[in-house]
Amino acid sequence: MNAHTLRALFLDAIYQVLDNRVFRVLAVLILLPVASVFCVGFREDELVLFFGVKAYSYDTLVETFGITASSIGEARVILIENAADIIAGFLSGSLGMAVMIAATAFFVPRMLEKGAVETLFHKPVPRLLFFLSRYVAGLVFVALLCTALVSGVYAGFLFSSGYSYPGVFWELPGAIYAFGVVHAVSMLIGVWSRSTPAAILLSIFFFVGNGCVHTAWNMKESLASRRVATEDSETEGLSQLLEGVSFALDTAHFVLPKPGDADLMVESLRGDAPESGGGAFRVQTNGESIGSVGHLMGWDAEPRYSFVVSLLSTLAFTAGLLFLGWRKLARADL
Amino acid sequence: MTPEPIIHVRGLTKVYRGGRRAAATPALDGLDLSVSSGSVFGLLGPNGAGKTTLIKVLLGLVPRWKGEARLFGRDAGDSAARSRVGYLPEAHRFPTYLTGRQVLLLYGMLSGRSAGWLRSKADPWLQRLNILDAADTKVREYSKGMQQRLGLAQALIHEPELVFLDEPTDGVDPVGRAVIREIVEDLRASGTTVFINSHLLMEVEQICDRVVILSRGKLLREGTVADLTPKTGLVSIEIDPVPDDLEQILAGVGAGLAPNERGFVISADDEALDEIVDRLRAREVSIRTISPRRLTLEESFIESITGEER
Repeated sequence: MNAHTLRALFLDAIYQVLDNRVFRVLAVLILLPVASVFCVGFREDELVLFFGVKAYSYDTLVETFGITASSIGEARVILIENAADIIAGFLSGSLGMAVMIAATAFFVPRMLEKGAVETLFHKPVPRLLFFLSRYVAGLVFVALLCTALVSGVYAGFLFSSGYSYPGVFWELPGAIYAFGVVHAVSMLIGVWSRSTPAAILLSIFFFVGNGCVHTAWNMKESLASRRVATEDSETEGLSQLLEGVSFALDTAHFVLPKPGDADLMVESLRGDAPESGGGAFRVQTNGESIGSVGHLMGWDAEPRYSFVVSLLSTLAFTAGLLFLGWRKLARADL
Repeated sequence: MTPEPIIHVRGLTKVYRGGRRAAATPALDGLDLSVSSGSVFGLLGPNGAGKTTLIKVLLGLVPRWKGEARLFGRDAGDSAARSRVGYLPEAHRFPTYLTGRQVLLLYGMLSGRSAGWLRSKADPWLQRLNILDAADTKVREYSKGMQQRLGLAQALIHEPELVFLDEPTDGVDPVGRAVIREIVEDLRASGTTVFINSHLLMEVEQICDRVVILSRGKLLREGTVADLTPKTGLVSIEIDPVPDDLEQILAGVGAGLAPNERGFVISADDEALDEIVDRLRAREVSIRTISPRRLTLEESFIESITGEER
C-alpha cells in the first residue's frame, strides 16, 4: 500500500458522492433556503423582501410576532441568528439525518455485492481501509452538503442584510459529528446484513431509539434537579422499580452515543448561553422548561453533565461500532 | 537451481461453514499444486470443484483455511504478493458511478501504480479492447461484453506477473474473443503466467499450454494439453472421390473402417497408414487430408471426471 492507494480510495469516495442522485437532489434543494436568505434582507431600519420590492418596519414585526427584545437592533440580530441556525441546522435535525442515512446506507452493502467485492478486495489494500473509505465517503457527503448550505446562508445574510454571522459555521462540525455516529451504525449493519433496506431501517430505528433514551434521561434529570431545588419531600423515596428504571436509563445514557449534545457543545463553543439552546427536548409548563438539563451542561461541569464525558463516550461508541464492522469484514468469506 | 514456484499449495483445505441447519461444505480437500512461471494454465473442473475457492484463498479473499498456500514465495493473501497479481473475477461488477477510464485509473492505483503511469497505459488498453469510444461513459451504460473487456483491462493494466482470468470470454462476441486470445498469447510471450478458468474447453485447448483439473477440491490431473489429449490411434482421411468399393480397396489394412461423406476414419499404425496411401493412390484417388485423431480436451475432461466419480 502506498500514497497512490490512499489517493485512489479518496477519489473513489468523491466520485461515489458526486454521482449520488440523492446528493444531487439535496444539493438543488439546498439552493431553495439559500435563495430565500438572499431574498430577505434584515436591514438596520426595516425588513426588505426581494431586494427592496417590499419593506416592513421592525415595529410592525415586533407587534405582530411578540418578539421580546430590548431594542430593534437586538431584535434584528436575534431574527438573523435564529433564522440562520434553523436553516443551517436542518441537516443535523431528525429529517435531515434520516435523509442522509437513506442516501448513504447503500455504500457498504453495494461494495460487498457478489462480483464487486472480489474485484475490489483482491487488490493489495487492507480491508480496514476499504471499510474506512466508505465511512469517509459518508462524511464527505454530509460535509459537502452542509458546507454548501452553511456558506450559502452566511453569504445570503451578509449580502442581503449586511450582517456577518460566522457563528453559523459551527453548525458544520455539529452536523458531521451527529451524522458520524449514525453513519457508523449504518456501516455496521451494512456489513452484517449486506442489505441496504436493513441498514436504512435499523439505523433510523437506532437514531430514534437513541434519541428517546436521552430524552427520557433528560427529563429524569430535570425532574430530579427541580425536586432538589424545591426540596419536594413528596417525591422522596422512589420505589425500587423506579430506581431500577433510573439506573437502566443512566446506564443506557452513558453507554449510548449522544449526538444530540452536539447542539449544546456548538452553542457553548460559539459563546451562546447554554440555556438558550434548550437541549434535545423541552416541555414548557407555565413558560418554564422542565425537560432539559442543557443549562447544567458544560465543559467544566460535573462528569454527569460534562461535554467532555459526552464527547468521549460518543467517540468511543462510534469507534467501537467501526471496530466491530471491520472485524466482521476482516473475517468474512468474500 | 530450480526456480521457486509462483504458486505452491500443499494440503490446502477450505470448508465453508453452512447455516445453522446446513452441513459444512468442503470446497478444497487437501489440495496439492505447484506452478512455475511462464505458462498459460487452464484451470478446469465441474461446478463446485474448488477452482474459484483456490484463487480466492491465494488472493486473501477467503480466510480460515488449513494447509500451506504460498504465492510468489509469500503467504497467501500477502499484500506484496497480491500487488503482482491481476484478477478478473467471474461476473465481476464495477461501481456504476465510475467511467471506464476512471475504473482503470482507480483500480490500477489500488495495485500501487501512479496515476500518471496509468494514464499513459489506459488508452492503449481501451483501444486494443475496442472500448476507447466509451472511455468517458459511466460503467452503468456498458453492455456485458464491454464490461468484460473493461474487466480484462483492469486485470492487466498494472502489468502483473500472474493473472487469473475467470471466464474471460463470457458475454464477449467472436471478434472480442479473438482479441482476448491474442492478448493471452502476448502475455505468454512476455513471460506472464496466466490461469484461465473457463467452461469453454475448446477455447482452453486453443490457448493453454498446461491444464489442471480439479474435482471435489482435489487435484485430479495435471499436464500439458498434449498429455491430456493423447492420440486415439484413429486416423481421419479425406479423399476425393470416395470410391464405392472402399472396403474392398482397404481390405486387410487397419481396423474399424468407418466411411463418411468426405472419406473415412480408420484405426491404423504408421505402417498401415503407408499401405492405405499406396492403395488409394494406385486407384488414382486424391488424398486431401490425413489427421490423426486425438482425444479432445472435452472428452478427456469428461472421462477424468466420470472416472473419478466411479
